[in-house]
Amino acid sequence: MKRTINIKVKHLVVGLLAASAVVWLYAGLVQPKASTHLAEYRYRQGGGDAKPALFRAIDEAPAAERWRLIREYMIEPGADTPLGVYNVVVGLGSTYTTYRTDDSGPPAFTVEEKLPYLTDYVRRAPVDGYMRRAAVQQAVCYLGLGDPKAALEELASAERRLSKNEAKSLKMMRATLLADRGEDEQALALLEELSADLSTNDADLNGQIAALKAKLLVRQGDVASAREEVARQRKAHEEQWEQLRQQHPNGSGMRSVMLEQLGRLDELLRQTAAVGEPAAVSGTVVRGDGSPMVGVGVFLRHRDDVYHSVLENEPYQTITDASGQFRFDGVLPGSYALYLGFTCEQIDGWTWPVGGNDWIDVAAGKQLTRQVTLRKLMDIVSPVDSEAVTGDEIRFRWEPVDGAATYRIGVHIPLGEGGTAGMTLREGVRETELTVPIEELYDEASLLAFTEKDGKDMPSPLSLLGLANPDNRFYWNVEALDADGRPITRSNGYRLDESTIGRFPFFYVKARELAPEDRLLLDGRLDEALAGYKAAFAANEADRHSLRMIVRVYQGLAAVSDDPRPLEDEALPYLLRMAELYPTKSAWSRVFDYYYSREKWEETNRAYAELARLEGGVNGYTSSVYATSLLHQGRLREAEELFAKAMELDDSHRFVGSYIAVHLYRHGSIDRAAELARRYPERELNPGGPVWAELMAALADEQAQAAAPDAYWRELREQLEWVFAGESESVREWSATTGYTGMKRFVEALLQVD
Amino acid sequence: MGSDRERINEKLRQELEPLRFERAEQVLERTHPRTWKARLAALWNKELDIALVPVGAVVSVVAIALMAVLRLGQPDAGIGWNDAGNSDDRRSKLVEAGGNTYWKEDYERAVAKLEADDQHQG
Repeated sequence: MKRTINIKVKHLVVGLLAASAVVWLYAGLVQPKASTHLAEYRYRQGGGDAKPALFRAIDEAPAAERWRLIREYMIEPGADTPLGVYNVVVGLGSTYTTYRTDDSGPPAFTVEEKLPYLTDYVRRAPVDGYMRRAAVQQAVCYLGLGDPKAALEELASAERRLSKNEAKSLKMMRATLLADRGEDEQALALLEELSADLSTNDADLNGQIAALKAKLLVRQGDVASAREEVARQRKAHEEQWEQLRQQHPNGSGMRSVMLEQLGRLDELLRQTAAVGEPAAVSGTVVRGDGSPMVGVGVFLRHRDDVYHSVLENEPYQTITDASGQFRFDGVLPGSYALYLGFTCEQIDGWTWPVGGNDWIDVAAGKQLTRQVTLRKLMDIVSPVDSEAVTGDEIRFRWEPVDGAATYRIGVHIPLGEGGTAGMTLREGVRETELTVPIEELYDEASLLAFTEKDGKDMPSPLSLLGLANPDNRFYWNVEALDADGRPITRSNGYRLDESTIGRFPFFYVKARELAPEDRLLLDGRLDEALAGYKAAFAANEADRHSLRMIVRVYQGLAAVSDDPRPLEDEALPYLLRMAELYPTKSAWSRVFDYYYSREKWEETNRAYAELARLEGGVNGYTSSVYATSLLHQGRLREAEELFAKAMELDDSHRFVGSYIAVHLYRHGSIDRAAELARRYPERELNPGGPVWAELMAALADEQAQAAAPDAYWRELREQLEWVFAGESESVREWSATTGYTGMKRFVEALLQVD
Repeated sequence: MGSDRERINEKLRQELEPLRFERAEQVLERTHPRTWKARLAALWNKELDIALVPVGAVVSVVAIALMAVLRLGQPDAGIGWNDAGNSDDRRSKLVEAGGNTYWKEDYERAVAKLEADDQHQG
């Protein structure tokens, strides 16, 4: 075999040259492109090192490619308003995250990561719409870092790269920031500059200028000029909008956001002029140790807006400054809730303890302040880290919290497919531990949830079995409350660092083994399971588990049935037996609900008395329901007294309508009833729900204008009697024919109270 | 035999009579180059005998060494699919578990550690 090759020098040289040309082409052209593509692909897939790969690609790419990557992956998905900077929004007892928690898709960049790239883009990339957006986003990043001064400087320097016309939107942003900082003179100067060379085509910008100018004028106490400014702009806007509509007859569904905003502003100024002073809401956001929280998003949200996540066009949005302060000027009267936006880094290990009914009622001319203090998450001690509880009691322990009067313990049952049923196990606990007998834990920790099987709703077997399931892994949490029952801190929250990650709140309850009936239940064979439980209970009266499960399965089946009453009737003997043998809160509340729904007042009264004897047996809701039953029984004085108590126990005031009605009936004063409506505004989260104060105002007007006020009053009393007696049919017949629209609206709203 | 040879020789001479060899110079140039140009041309056309085994071995060693050096220069070069970045950069996904929100990687690491401890104890 030949082991040498014979080659001429010239062929060798040409061959080597060709090879190096190929290498050079690959290294200089193909490889960079390929690695950029690879980096983009990996970033979109979103693995652990997705971000560093993209950063490297951007750093190494030639200019045009660099600008494309920044455009595509940072500017386009980026935040043009402060809202977009935040990963977590907290308010009214709810927390939602805007950070992706699923496994797919590209990871988001933090403010710190994006800022250098945006800055480079603003300074060196070609001037176009993207460059302007980059400038806006860069300013937003600086705001998020609590550095509005840098935001202003960078905006001004970006404007210098742009023509006068192109710079308008940035200038407007600068004016808004200056106004937020209270630098009114400079803001006004900028606005003057802007309006000097605006054409009427810049409708939106014109509107923004007018709105900001009005805000500044109001601040200086010149409400009259502010109204003029807004009215003028609104008129111009309307004319232009009309013109647009004539040009595009098909666009009848279009609406002008700016026109709506100007309308709202007009109304605000009208009300402000009447009172003479605008309302304002201000405050500070600090941590428990007193250090101010810089760059926190603050959103003052109207009652009508809290059903959805925060939108970019909601009117009251700001960011805390270097001392943690925020301020909203010129707030329209109404019910508002404060929402805060945090980045992951800001919220890590901390919680903002805000109640679900923490409303801010803004009246014209009022100056309100709200102090927000974030607290450190509290630590749990046991059970933790998937510990298996085996004895006949379970002991929850946690670290004490300064200033806590009581603790509230919640347990959570995973239902498969990502769902969880969570419930309060105990509240009002004064110690830093809670021991619950296992059987009571099984009885009380129950919450009915539903699942779907073969296209039909059915009670979720995992929720029916609850904590009596030794195979399910549960978790728990604890909240600390002050002496007034306001939350101080909690154990569950954002734990993103080794120092805050703490112990995992998971535990198993392995105090019993699954019975054959339990297995049938978990298989979804509810009828067979029910028969099994019945047989087991018949064989052994002391079988508490089977009795409990009979009641629960019936409850579950009734809940998904079109005709639940026969099932509830079948369950009653077992329910009564359970309440008799094991008089717990959950057993007696079920008995109470049953008799209330059957309008059996004597039994209802007895069940309520039993509940009231148990610790924590009655709450605002059960008291209100019982007060309603007293109305039905004609015991109006007692009903009124109980409603009065319930209003203090239940912040949602969902039964305030009934309270107003019984007060009105017994005392005959619309004014005094209206006072109750104002003191206890209904907070139920149903859009378009009744505003009792308005209904009472309409009622008062109508009575004053009625030809015979006495006859009006008699008619109202008669309808209230029907309402108390639960004769809704008679009330509806009357309301179809009456000419008293105010009375009709009030009485119809009363029928909806529950 | 000898006369045959004579005869063939004579015939060849007669046949080659009209031919004259006039490029002795060039031949000499090629076989014994004297100018630099001639030497270069000689080198350019020189034939090499390359032994495959040793040369192949040397080339492979050099190529591998070169690649190793290039990789070292860029430890995170975006080629490997599973190379780990530093832990801060890896924090890109949140996971909700037990009512808390964790970085997915931290949570999984802590759970794995917990399970390992359990097995260790068990």
